[in-house]
Amino acid sequence: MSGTGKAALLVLISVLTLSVLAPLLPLPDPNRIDLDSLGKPPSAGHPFGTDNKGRDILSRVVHGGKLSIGIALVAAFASAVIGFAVGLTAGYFGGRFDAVMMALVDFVLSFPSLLIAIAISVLLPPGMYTVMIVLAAVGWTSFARLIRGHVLTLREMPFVEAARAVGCSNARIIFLHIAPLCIPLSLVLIGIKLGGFILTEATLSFLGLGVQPPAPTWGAMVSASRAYVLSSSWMVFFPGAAISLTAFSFNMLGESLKKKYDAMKYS
Amino acid sequence: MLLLVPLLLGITLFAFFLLKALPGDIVVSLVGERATPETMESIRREIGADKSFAYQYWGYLKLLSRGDFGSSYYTNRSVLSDIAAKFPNTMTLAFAAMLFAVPSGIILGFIAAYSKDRFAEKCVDALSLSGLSIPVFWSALMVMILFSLKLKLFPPSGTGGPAFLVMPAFVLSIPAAATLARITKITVSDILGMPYIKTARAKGLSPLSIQGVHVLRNALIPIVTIIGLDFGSYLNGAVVTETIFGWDGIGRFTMEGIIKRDYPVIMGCIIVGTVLFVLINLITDLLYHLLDPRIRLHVRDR
Repeated sequence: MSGTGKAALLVLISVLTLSVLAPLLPLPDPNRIDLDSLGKPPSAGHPFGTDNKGRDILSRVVHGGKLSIGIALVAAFASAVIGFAVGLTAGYFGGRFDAVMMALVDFVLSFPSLLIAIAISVLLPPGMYTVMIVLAAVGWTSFARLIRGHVLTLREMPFVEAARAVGCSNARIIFLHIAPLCIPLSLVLIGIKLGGFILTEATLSFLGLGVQPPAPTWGAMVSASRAYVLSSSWMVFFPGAAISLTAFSFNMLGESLKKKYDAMKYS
Repeated sequence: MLLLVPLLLGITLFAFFLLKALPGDIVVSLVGERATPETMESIRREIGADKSFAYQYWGYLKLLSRGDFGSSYYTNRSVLSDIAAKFPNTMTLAFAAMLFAVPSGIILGFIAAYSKDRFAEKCVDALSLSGLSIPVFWSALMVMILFSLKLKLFPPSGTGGPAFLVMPAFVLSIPAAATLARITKITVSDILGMPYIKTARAKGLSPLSIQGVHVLRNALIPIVTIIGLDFGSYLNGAVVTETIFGWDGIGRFTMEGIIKRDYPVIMGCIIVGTVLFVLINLITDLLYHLLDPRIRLHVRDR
């Protein structure tokens, strides 16, 4: 892995560790409302300042990471599983199922994704699981497309022909011969998608369609403080910076995983 | 173009189904819980909520075929005329954003492609990756703090002349410019490795004609595709950007409709968004032919 990839991984590991260990750290309760310190700028007691309800922003940012990253991870894994299943079957069997599935994938990929996400999150009651479903509903398509493409080349390989010649069933060929070779590609793709998932989760929370208050998520924190942006900029700065840093690191990691994978493929 | 009709039917049916399946009673949220049952019944009849799903959908399609999107539950104004009034604003915003995004994206991409493995390439990479990693709603607020609060250059929000337009257009252009820079970089560095560039150099063509005729011309197809595809991201971004900057366009209209559960408004916006989207794709396809006459439009191998 390249230097930038390692740096990104290091940042991500520290962000994750911090947010998982947040309850053990010497931080104030992220949901404790303190009427004596409403909207205080950053100071020694509150390094990131306090929000309009007097809650400590540093503590909320640290606690918020768990939800945001957790949702993105679960959604990425779910997208990978669905896309993997669809891509494998569509690519291996081809035919009508393949045509229908790829038309669906093309449509979802080309349509403005936020509109689809909004439509689903209006339909389901807002909350953590809805956000995961929304992300997975849009996210599986790119997995399906890429896995299918990979399967199309794999299924013409001599070893598949050989397996068929010795009488392996389709299921055996798919699961034991082809699927394992698609796993590296899926892992790379998970790395690439995570940054986007973090952003979409934050945007949904920002629009009020994500995880509901008082749970601290970065997007919802920016949203709640939006009205105070011109008077108390620190309230929106820190949670947004946390989103950007995390998404940037995920994107960087995905990028370097992809480079590594491409180098492996062509060597 | 023929695809447009079934696509629209599908979209309207899907959107209609989604909206009708929403939890909560629209009539209750319209008149409040304390209204008498009679009032609620009469309003229910007025907006047709007492009829069957198929009947309502058929009624809506009949309305649509007459070019009528119905009227808003709240303001009772025609949705179509509201959209028509706000549409130019969104288009202005999108084109202004393209005005930022297209030159900066292409220039950055070229710089990166020509400075392979040098410092400039790393800078462009970091810049484009940040452009894709910073949430639009946050960059919007940061730009607002910097340019209207600290520097006092532009009004923080509202609809109007160029002064109001600069900030939302810039914010909207960031992710688009980042995508464009990445695609341009990949395409141009691929082209630079092609034998015909070596040939052009060997036969002594001026660097300018190599860049203009051989590199840029061939790089244009993927670039134009991305510009077209990015229109989807303009529509995405417009919802957030217009809401934050108070720009009176379709994006903000959609968001307000969603918050107030104003079905005719949401439906109208989704339909207009879809038509727009299909048209942009069509224009992109047509441009291919202009850019590369070898691509013939009537040949479809799918």
